[in-house]
Amino acid sequence: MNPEESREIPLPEAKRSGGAPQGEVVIECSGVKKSYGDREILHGVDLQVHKGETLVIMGGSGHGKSTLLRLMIGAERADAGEVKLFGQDMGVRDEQLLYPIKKRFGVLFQGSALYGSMTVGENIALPLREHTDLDDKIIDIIVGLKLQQVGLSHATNLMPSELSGGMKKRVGLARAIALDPEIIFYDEPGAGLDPVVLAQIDQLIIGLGEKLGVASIVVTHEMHSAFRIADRMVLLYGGDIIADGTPEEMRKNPAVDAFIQGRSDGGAITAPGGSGFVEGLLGGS
Amino acid sequence: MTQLLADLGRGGLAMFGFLAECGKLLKGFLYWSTIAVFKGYPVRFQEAARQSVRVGVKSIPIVFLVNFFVGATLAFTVAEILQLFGADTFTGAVMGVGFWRELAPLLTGIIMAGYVGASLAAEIGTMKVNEEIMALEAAALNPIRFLAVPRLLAVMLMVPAATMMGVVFGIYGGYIVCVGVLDQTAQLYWDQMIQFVTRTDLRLGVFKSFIFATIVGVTGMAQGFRVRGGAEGVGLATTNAVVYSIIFIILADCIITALHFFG
Repeated sequence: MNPEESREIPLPEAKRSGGAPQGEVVIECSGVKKSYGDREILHGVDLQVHKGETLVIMGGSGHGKSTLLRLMIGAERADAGEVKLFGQDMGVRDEQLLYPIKKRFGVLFQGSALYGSMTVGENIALPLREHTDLDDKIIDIIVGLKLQQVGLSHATNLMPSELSGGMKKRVGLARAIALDPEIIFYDEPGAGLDPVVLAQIDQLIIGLGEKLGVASIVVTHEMHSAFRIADRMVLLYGGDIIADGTPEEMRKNPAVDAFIQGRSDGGAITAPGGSGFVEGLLGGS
Repeated sequence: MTQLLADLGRGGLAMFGFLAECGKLLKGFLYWSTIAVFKGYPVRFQEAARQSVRVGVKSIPIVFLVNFFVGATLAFTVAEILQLFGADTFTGAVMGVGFWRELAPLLTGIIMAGYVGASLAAEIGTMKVNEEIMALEAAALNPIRFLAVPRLLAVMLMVPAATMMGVVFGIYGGYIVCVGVLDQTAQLYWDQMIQFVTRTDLRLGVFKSFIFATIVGVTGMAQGFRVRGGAEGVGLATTNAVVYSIIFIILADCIITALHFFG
């Protein structure tokens, strides 16, 4: 038996059959370039995300996944090209122009990014207090509902320092959905979680997509998780999207297959970058 | 020599870059505490009050200790020199003018640079490392409005207040020495002080403390906002906040005093 074959990982069935994306375009990236110093991270990325779609962005470390996400949420500006959310260019200088757009999406950060000086309840209530005119009692009810959605009804008065990694992720998710967003961004939602907790987070992501009809953009390199939740997947390599399709289509793509299986033979696939492609995908291994 | 010049140039550019960041932060503070209020972004006064307790109330013991003992020490030194001219009865006057104009603002400013500036840099820097700042921005909450405005308001209010307490503690330290040890009368000590301390001295002291407060708050937070990397970056920002604040305070003190002298 080929030693590589013996390591092959069985992936879960895709969430649903996928197919061509439908509906309104909520995110549009065209010719997006981004550099840090002399190093160009994104080489001209073109990407569209549709309403209600769950898009998984895969790729090795340092290939531009998180950079692309930061551009989408307006945390950074592209050097060239455009990133548009709901038709609004996210690269504008006047930050206040982006506020109406930012209220329409939520972000779950890799480390959850809960505000350490606030309780769980205060963390979730913050966007509601700042961006709505709701009465405190109504806000308390909404906070309770959001926590119930992520299975943490009992955690309202806990401080972030009292939570486990999985609980922090769920609170982060409850905060991300506080304003009932139309898009949710997930930055490495499975980082640092055990498989059981990761499966719970995946179920939450799927549930939110199905129940609320939100578009989800998930940056991850957890392959099991990616195939569980994705409607569509893209693979970033060296700052370019080298594969884009449904989970079924991606399984058949040799570049994706090499990434999924963590193979470092490099010779079986042809892709941009020539030799060392797989090593590059695997972060130089 | 070339290397030395190159290092100096790099250091100068880095300092210039940091001063530009401080200017940007101050501009943001002025916008979010005034103009933005009329655009529907209220100042978070409740948070400013919470920060005032942290900045002001909790720093009283250290402000007392330093000012009181420097006051006592200065009284011994001044009295010894004035005795040479038979003018030791003027010790109260020197203590009053010295503490109002110079010592209380400077000592309290330096204490606050260590106590408050370092704390602000560490707090904001840790929030930056933990992506909390990015989370605020992603939630359409401006970090300057949300974090910097209440903290800077608290510092601008509490550092001058602590300075006024420093004046009282320092002068009282001198009083204990003059009356308790050097056998001067209490009446003489207070009379000399009231006679020589002018309104200009009071205004100068308050003005200096306000400028020093701004320096401590802006420098500490600007260092926090520029943190890169992890714990090491936070540590570096904390150290820089204290060092830069002390340098800026002493420079500002010299400039203000010189302008007053020639003005």
